[in-house]
Amino acid sequence: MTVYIYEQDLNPMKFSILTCPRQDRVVRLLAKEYGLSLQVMRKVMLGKLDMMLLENLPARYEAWRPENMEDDVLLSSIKPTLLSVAIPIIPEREMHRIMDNARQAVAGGLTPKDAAEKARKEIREVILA
Amino acid sequence: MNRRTVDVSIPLGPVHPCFKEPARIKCETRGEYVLSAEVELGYMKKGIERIMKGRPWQEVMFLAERVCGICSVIHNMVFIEAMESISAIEVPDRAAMLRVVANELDRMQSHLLANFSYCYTIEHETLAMYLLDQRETVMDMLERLTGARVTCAYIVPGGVRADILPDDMNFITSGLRELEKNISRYMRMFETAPLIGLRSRSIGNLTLEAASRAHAVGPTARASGINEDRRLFHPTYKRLCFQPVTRKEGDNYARIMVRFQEVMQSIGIIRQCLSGLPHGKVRGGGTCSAGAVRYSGEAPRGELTYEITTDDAGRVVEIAIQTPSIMNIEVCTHDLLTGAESIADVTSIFVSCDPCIACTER
Repeated sequence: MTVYIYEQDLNPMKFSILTCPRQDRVVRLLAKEYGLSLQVMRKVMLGKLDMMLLENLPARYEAWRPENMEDDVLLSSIKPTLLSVAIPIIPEREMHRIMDNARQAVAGGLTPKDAAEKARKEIREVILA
Repeated sequence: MNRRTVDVSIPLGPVHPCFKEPARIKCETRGEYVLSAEVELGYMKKGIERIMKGRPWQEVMFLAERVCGICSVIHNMVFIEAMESISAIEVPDRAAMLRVVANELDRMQSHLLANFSYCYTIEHETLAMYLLDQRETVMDMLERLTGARVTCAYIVPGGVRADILPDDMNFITSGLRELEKNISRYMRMFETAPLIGLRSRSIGNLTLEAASRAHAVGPTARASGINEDRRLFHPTYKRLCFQPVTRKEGDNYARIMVRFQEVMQSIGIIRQCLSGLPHGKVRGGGTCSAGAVRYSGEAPRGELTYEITTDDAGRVVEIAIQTPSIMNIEVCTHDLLTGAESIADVTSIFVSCDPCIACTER
């Protein structure tokens, strides 16, 4: 969004929202899931999500429905739509690229578990970029 | 911060004649088209959850209904029913029915206020004032039942604070008759007026997928075809064979019409409760004890959730409130305002979702 020089810094308010009990629970879960520290995950969310998305974080997390994940080991361990659609901190095209790479790695002989671990590393890189 | 080419960046609010409460919408436009929108909060943060912590339930019950001045009855109801659920307190049948009456009256006044705001925003002030007049009738009914207009504190653990008197029952019954006649007329006005149609039909279309993704709730979700209503799971509403109102259009028109239809539905529910009101006491008593629960109820704007942990003395140790406006404002900002065809529709789309900033900021 456009930055107005006369506007106040919104980060303290965003941080207050993010540290509410329900939001905090979701941030801790996501940080653990993708192998990031709590502080880093908070910083990423403060930077990439606006106030309303932060307020709605727990509801979006609960409304997220894993699709066809039981049959697909890659999908169930990477959970691509969680970070690209439900809680949009990674652009969808980036997530598609990561998933394509993981699928190619599996086709090339890598075990799904190792491919998923590699994909999660890529996700961390994209988040921190 | 990414740099992008935009024509104009338009801030709406925090003080805006169409908004009931302060919020700021920042819109980036190219011509009439809205490229992106963001809602800024922080103008009326109360920190009420933090104030509630460590206090006995007797105090928190009054704080709960002060989260929102428009839907205070449901905050009172959900908090008390959560406490009852923790402490296994039974509610007498008569009190359960009276709770539904109070809740439906609250829903009616909230929906009428929301539709008033919408009509006022699209500058149909005549219909807006008619609706506000009808809301006053409902507020009078609520006052006769509970003794207060806004912060009623009517619902207490194990029942309701006071029984309904025969005079008050007659007042409500005759008021409902008048209200039904008038609201039917105003619904027809809304449905058939060509200028209202131009400002409302096919404006602010919310798809079922977007509504599900953001967990939209209440009339905003039901106007997009989502058949969800917490009243379906409430024991008293189950006895009344409640079925939610849904529509498929997903536009401003559908959201307002769902509210009108729900007002008519509420009239039917109240009549059903009053005609079949069982005899007996309205306060069963009980002691609030230790425990933890997540409890949801259907507020006028949608699903309202309280997560409460209490200690042996009934003090609230932890509390988190998820109000329906959080989900609805979020979906409105990112799926309706972003991509709106005209900047002139931003206020009407926002108001059609019935945003409550007091609830959102708590």
